[in-house]
Amino acid sequence: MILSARNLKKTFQDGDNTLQVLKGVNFDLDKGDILTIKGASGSGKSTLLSLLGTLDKPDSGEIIINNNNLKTINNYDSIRNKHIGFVFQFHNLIAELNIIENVTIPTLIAGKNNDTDYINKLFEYFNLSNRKKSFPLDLSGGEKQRVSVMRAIINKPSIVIADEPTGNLDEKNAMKMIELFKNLNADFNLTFIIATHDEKVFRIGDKKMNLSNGTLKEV
Amino acid sequence: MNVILLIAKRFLMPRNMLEGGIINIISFIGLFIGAASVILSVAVLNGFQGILENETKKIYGDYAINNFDYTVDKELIDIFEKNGIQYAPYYEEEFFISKNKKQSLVNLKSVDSLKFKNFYDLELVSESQDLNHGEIIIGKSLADRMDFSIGDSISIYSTKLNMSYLAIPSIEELTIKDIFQNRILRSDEFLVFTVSKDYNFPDKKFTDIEIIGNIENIIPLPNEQIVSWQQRNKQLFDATEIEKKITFFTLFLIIVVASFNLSSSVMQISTKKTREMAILSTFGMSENRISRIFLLYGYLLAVSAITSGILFALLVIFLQNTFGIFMLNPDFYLVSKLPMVISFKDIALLLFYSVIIIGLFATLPLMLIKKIRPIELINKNI
Repeated sequence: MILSARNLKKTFQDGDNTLQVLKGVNFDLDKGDILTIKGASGSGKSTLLSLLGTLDKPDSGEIIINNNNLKTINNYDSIRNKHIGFVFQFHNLIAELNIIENVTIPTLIAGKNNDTDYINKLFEYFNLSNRKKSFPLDLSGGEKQRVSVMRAIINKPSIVIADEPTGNLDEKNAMKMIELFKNLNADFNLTFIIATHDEKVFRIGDKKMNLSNGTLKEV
Repeated sequence: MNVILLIAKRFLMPRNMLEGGIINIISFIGLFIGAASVILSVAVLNGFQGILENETKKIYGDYAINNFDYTVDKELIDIFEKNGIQYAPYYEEEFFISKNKKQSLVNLKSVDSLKFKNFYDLELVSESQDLNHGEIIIGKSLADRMDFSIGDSISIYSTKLNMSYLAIPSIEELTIKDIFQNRILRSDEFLVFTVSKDYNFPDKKFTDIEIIGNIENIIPLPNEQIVSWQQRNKQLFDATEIEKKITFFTLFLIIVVASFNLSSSVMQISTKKTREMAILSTFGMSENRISRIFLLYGYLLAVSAITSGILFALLVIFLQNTFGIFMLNPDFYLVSKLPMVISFKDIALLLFYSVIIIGLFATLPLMLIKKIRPIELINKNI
């Protein structure tokens, strides 16, 4: 098992009102699984992804990522760096860095040297070999999002968390992105957790779940 | 490359340089001017201090041995002779000098006649430093003030008013042999030279000896008996040192003020780059390392400005010393071109203090950064 979530609860305070966003989320994920999550806006998808991505802490419950129980760990930075890759709705590339620098940022943060062969193969795989020295401003929207996926998987993470990855793409690029996720899953046995409104993206999941009323239910 | 350095460098030098904002340029210019001003001003003060040192050494030598007894300390003379050290025995006392009812207090230095010519480097009107018994050399300021000319006969008498058997002060008549010019006003105005052959002028033995050369570890005398030229002119050189320090710190205030702009630059970039901070955080960069990016950003900006300022100042000093760009009126300033001397100690001090000030001002905005929570931005999908 690569990820296990047990009875996750999360509450937010909004003035005098208490909003319980997650009321006990449970699921398990094996290596190579694709979990797709859908739900209405404000249902707590992003909150759930933040907890799973160690960007926030649950009020109660536990998360185990690749045998690391987050309750026993104080510093999540290295867990995020080693085990989790993020893809957002917007590419969020750093405009001042060129493409290869953007992609290798997680490796540099880990303090590792870049594996040139691996990086070259990855660029070939993503069909972006000729864009290494370009800057984000010079790339199309689809290319930028592919670069952001490459950045998410550069450190060979246990899980890739994608929040509305096609939300900012046109139909054609959205389809390409769906294909890319499928191929990455097949070729690299990568595990994905994808939150989406897009029905086509939702359908690629091995496990499809709906987040509603603070709980996650298999569809 | 180190990720912190890479990002800090790219934030500082984006593809579109104007993106950095006018505040970066203002910070750069402020620090540049500050550093250049400190180095140039201190170089000028060093230049004038160097002239003062040379002028002092011309009439005081490197060291003086006080309470020298010519008969007892004869072995010292042998040591000087053996080690090729130049020396000049002398006797110094305050006298009144007068002519035509005008009189002035002077410091009369009566020097061994055999040593006078080669030991002192006086800028004389006639350029002949031969001085005989019964002759005197006086400073130009004294000559101007008292209206003395070469060849004039003047009277001198001791301030201690040694009386003759007729109960009148012992007065000596001397002829002005020459007039010297020295850039130290105190010497030019009050110091006069005579020579003596028998070590008994006037009725006194030589009590001190001036030396040119390094006598450390050579002379078997207690340290309190040996006085360097700096110690003999302590007030003057203490004053120039204080002047240098005040100038340094006053001009350093430019750097302090420019550091406020630096603080604004760091503040501006850190608030502008919150999205990037969030991205770095999601990929596992710790808050401390993110803060260090902005600290380094501030340092890169400030150090490049200060280094450029120093290099510019060094270039100006080089051009001045080579081509004499800034000329002076020698009648007023006593030198024909602005003297400039590079002091590496001052450069090191400037860098040291700058690093502290920059550190302080670049760190302040980081307290603000700590309040920015990347998680909040990420939850809003950045």
